[in-house]
Amino acid sequence: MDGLTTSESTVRFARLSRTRRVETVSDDEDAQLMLAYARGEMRAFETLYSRHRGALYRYLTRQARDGEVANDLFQEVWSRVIVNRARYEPRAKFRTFLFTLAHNCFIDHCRRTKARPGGFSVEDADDADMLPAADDTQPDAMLSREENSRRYRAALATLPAEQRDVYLLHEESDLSLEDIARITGVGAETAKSRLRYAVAKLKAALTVAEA
Amino acid sequence: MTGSDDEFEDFLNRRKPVFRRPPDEMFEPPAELDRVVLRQAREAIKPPEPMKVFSAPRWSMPIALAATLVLAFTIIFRAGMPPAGQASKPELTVQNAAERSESPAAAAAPAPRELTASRDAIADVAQPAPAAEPAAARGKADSTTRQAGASASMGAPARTASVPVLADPTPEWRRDPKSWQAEIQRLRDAGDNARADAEAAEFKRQQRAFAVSPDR
Repeated sequence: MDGLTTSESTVRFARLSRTRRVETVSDDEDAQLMLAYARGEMRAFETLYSRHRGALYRYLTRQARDGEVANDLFQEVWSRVIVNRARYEPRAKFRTFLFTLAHNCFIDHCRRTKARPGGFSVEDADDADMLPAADDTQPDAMLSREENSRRYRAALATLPAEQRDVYLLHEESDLSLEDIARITGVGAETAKSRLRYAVAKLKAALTVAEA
Repeated sequence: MTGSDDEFEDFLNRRKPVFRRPPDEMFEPPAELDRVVLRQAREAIKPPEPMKVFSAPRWSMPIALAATLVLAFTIIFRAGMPPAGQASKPELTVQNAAERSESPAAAAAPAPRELTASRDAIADVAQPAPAAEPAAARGKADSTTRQAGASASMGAPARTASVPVLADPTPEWRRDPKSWQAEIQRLRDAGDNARADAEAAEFKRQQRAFAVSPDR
């Protein structure tokens, strides 16, 4: 592997991802890392990648609902980041830049495959089983967790594409509503409305399922 | 503002989740994908290697060195040798001179001064000598003829390379032994004994050289 073994990199990125949950990542710092990578510092890219890889992967996986497609899109998004490194200007947040690329990649994928972004069924949600093995190996706990995940994916699959897109961007990217609106190409109020509907539907679906 | 609006505002500001999200949903990309992306990023910033103008195989250097040495030694060796014209010049022998005198091309060329002089000497000697000194004249004629023959056969080519090989002034009847003997006989019949003797001596000398030549 490129300087890191597979297990080392996995552990390292998992640690950095956990760190990201507690620390507030500075968007300025992301921009500086991207500029440093454009100057040829590989370490800067590794840091940047470790910060955003999980969120981006979850966003693409939930959008595409196909592990292989999600992997391809993930790689394509980072390829675009790498190729456009010299043209990057820190006028917007790096996360906005990254998720704009991801959103566009997914839209391009839907156009290529002539698939409707919202054309999913509840059964599709069960196909997206690329989740890592659980730490808790108790059978009842595993069963409960899997059931929760299945319900969540099923509820997500019932959302219209626009609402799911806004919800996933809000959940995974930690972007503001204005940034989400900019990425999806709608007004802030429209984005907020979509998000409100999405959250209400998800809450209703999960509450009914739990009941 | 209703309760649901407050709840949504809390959700929007990330203060409170509306529903509990399953922990298994926090999955990460596979390590293989990490490796691919990082390798791509590393290769993108790798400086391009300078293009080699000439990439020779590994064995070309010793071959080129050996060829240079062989060429240098050849040039030095050739420079130390005498010129090709000098080296190929045959050794001067009586036989060479005789063969050269027999060549028809040489006969057509003008006679050199030395050979002309020797012929004149022969002619002078061949003039009717006083009766008092026929033996002396004969001896002088012999020696003169011998000197002239020697100078004709050896002297001219042996001096320097700059002296050209001149045409042989030998008369036509000397080329054939029979005609030469006939000429000697004619001279005797004509009473020119001195000249006949000189020719006979020259005939014998050349025939002797012809007889002892290594390739006969």
